[in-house]
Amino acid sequence: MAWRQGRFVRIGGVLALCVVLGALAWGGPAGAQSTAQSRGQSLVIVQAQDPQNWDPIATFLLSWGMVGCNIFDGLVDRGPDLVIRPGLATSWKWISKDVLQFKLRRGVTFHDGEPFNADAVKFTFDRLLGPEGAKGPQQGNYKSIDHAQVVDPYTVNLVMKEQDPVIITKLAGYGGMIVPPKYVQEHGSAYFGANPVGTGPFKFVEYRKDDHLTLAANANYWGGVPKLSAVTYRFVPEAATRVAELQAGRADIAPGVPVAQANVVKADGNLTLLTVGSPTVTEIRFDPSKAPAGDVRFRKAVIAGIDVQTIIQTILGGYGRRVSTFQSPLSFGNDPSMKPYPYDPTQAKQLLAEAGVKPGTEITLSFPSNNADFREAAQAMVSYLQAIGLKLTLQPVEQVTYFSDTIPHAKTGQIYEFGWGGWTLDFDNTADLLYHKGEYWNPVFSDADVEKYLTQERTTNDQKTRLTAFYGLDHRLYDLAIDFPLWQQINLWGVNRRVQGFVAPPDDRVRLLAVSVK
Amino acid sequence: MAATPAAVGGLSAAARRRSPIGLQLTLFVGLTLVGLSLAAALGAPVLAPRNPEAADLRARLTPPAWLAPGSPYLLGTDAIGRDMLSRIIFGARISLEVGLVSVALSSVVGTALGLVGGYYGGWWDEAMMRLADLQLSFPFILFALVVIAVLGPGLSRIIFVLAVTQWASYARLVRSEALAVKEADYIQAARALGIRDRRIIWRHMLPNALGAVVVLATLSIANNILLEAALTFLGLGVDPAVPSWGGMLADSRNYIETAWWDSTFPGLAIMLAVMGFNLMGDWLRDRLSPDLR
Amino acid sequence: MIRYVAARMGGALAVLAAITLFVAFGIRLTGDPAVALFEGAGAPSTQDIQRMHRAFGTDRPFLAQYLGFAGQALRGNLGTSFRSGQPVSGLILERAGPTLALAVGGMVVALTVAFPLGVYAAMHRNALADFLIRVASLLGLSFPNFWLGIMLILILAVRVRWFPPSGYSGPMSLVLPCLTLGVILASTLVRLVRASLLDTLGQPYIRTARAKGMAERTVIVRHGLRNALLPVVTFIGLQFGGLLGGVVILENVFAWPGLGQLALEAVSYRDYPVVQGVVVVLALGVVAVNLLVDLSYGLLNPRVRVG
Repeated sequence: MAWRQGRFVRIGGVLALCVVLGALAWGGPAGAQSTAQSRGQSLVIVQAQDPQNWDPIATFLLSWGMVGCNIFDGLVDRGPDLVIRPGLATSWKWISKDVLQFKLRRGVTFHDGEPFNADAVKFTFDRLLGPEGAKGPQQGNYKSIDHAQVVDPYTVNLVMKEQDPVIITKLAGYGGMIVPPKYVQEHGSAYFGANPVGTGPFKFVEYRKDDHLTLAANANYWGGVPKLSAVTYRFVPEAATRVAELQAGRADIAPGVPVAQANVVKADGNLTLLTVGSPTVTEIRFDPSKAPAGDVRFRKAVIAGIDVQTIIQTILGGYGRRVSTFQSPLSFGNDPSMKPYPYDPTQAKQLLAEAGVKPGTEITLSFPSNNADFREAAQAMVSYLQAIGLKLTLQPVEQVTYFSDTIPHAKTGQIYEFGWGGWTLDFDNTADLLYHKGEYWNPVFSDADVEKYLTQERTTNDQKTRLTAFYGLDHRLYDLAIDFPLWQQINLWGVNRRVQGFVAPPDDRVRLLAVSVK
Repeated sequence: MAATPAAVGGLSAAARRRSPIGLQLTLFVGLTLVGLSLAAALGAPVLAPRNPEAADLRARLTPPAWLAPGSPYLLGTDAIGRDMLSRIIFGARISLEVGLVSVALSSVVGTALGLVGGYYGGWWDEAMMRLADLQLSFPFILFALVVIAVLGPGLSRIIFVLAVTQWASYARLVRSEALAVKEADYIQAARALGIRDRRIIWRHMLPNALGAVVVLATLSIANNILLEAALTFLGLGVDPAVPSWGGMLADSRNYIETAWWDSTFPGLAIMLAVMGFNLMGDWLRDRLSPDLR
Repeated sequence: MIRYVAARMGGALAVLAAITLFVAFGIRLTGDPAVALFEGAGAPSTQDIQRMHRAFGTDRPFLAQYLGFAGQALRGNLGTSFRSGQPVSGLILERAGPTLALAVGGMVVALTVAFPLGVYAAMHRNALADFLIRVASLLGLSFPNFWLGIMLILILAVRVRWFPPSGYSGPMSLVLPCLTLGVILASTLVRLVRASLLDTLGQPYIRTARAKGMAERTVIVRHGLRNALLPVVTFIGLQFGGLLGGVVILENVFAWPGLGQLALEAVSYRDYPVVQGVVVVLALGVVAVNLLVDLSYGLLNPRVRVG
């Protein structure tokens, strides 16, 4: 028996085809921009990660900073040029060797109406240094502070218990952001983490975990009224999807555009690609306890055998800058006269022969599996090292395991990847962690000269002495070839052309006070 | 809960009346596709024109030869300048190894346990069924996440995870077949005659179950090739320098708009191999079903 | 019947205990939730790690931790997340909605597509239409789901802006993810429906019904489809665990705030309470679905009563 359905199916199919063809002809980039314009003065930012907790003492994530800098302020602040400037404090000075005094800004209120004063500062630091802060990672960063002391409602002292040349910079960090005492005490930390209140240019409206966070302009902001009316952050883990959101006009700003899609963004008439150098540097480290990495000639051979410049030009699309030590050009302690290691495969083969390393020797490169750019670079390295007679095996490790188990317990291969954001912009922080004997991420390496330089730069506040010590350290490390600094990361931001006044930040803090839309 | 004939795929003779040409076509296409994959996997060092791991960064993202005349790379190159054609050919090794080994392990173990449990019954059977239930209740992805988070990524881990999560399906299938046959007259007669258990299981029960097992196995090979791709997508995959279709697909997801060949060819390879195994499974189901029940 | 359900529930509890024990143990073998919070950005000192462990309660022996968790779980308290400080049950409730919407939506798409196509193919066996449907289903089965998802985003959300590329923002945003899931499920389902229907229609009692002069359509609907439903229901039940896997990947591609994302992140960050809580809920879900499938068997086919 013939089914009438047959005819319906055919007709339906033709209709559907017409609709599809029509839509394909009609849909396009012009339409995307009208979607964007329909949002008016409201901005949408898509970022990869939801930090899950808006309490400033609970996290180190860069993705927190992208949002948090708009809700909270610290005593001091750092602009997109990374220079420290007054924040909630108008001035500060050392009134004695261990006491730093701050004069506070007047007339500032929190989003819930509470006044900002010295009591709020004391509450913030008591909380950070006390049992609540003990649950989070920020506390350790501020352990040089002993306690905060109220002098008068607009003057507060920070009493230090040890020397800390970078304490001012650290106060611009998350842990130093000032929180509202009454609000936190009334509602508790768990509620505060999901419904944050601060003094910043935007105040919290709504939050749906892993989906979005909405902020509205704070008309009472001490730094001026924001030009935007509202900001929505959406959390989209997949990079290709983020770019798709930009293309469809549903997002205005997208950080973390992968190099592979840089040209896609550039080719789109409604979008523009912003690049900015970050303090984050990527390198390969050697584990000298695993043969043959204990031999400096082997290390130098591996270094000479990899053409980093070409990798940067091709895999990173030119979005990366070669470095000679494990710090960016922005870092204090960097010697701009030092040249990066040269690429010389002939010399590499010679060095291997000298070191007695036979062709075909197997070595392993460990790295965190979620770093897509390094994955590609690592695969290129397989080829380069093959050319000088080494068989490289790649070992991607899940990120958390990598940092909490693989590196500290020296379970890596002969070489392994390491990336570091030098947020203090001072080489001390990095150098101590990586080269000082017995540090968490340096379980194996130690060198007497290195220790000497480290001590020199840590025990003085005189920047000239410190710089000399750093230069000595830089050269010593270069000769030891204990690590192979690769490149300074350059971050790519996709931005819709209707956005005005947005400066791509090197520290990923999306400052929105001066941003507007056309 | 008996596995119904249709669920397993053993259809009644009436339903099986497919045209002989149709049957032959299925066999032919399936065999060709599977054969190609196997040939690629086995003969890779000979068939592949270049070293699949040799990178030439200056030649990265070259389009296929018909779009870039003069290019020596027939199917183009990937993001770090490796020859796509060679990688596809070598990629068959990983995909097939994952598919075949995991299915071999799970089907052999599962069938053995199912036969023994179905035949002997008793608390041994009960225990095995509880374990199978447990395995089937454990969401695959969670199991994979935990195991790989602990043991680290790698080919052997993926095979292990796939094998461990799939044996239970075979055990259940075979057990129900075994139970159905156990009560049959000729089995009772054999036991009465004193024929050894092992002989009965091997000679009489196994062949009955074999049909369904083979069908499930073939289909699982196809499925596991896809699962390997999925696990690599989540970052739990094998060494990225080693060519694997799933890995290639996952790594090329950012290049879909700018270098479509990076993801299209591995995707096609997966599709064709998976189709081949599915077709073989279909054909086997058709051919073996008159012997079932 | 009641006894049967009760026995099954008891079994379910044992299963849950085994699964949670396995996961709780496995996830503590490597990684460290305290270090995870530093994200490789800050530098943890030994004191930092110790004090955080004390705050989390992870400095106790494993058995103490597990029994503590189990005891609380039985009373309905799934603990507090290390990362966000929020109660785990709240987190799960928030995420369960989107995941269910995705899973159910995918199933609906699959059933809506598969049944008519499967029936049509069975009715016109060996015709061109049947062949095309079978080829299409084969193609659908062979697609990696994340690839399909990304392609759909490119075509339907970027080239033409019919749907949002990602996010959970209302019925329109449901379409692409459910379509991706549904197409792949439908492929298997079509073949199943077709095969099952053919099988049923070949049975003697169908021939009898036809001989008795019953209208073809009645034959199919009254007898054929009802029996064809049996393997379909089995399929849904068996596939549920695997469905979760597909859902996790699609949640990643479509930025879908569901349980899959929650689980992935929690495992990554070694957020033990969240991982344990999600495992309990998911395993419970799978067990419940299996039970429902078994019970519905009795409804669909009186000859296969359970209990």
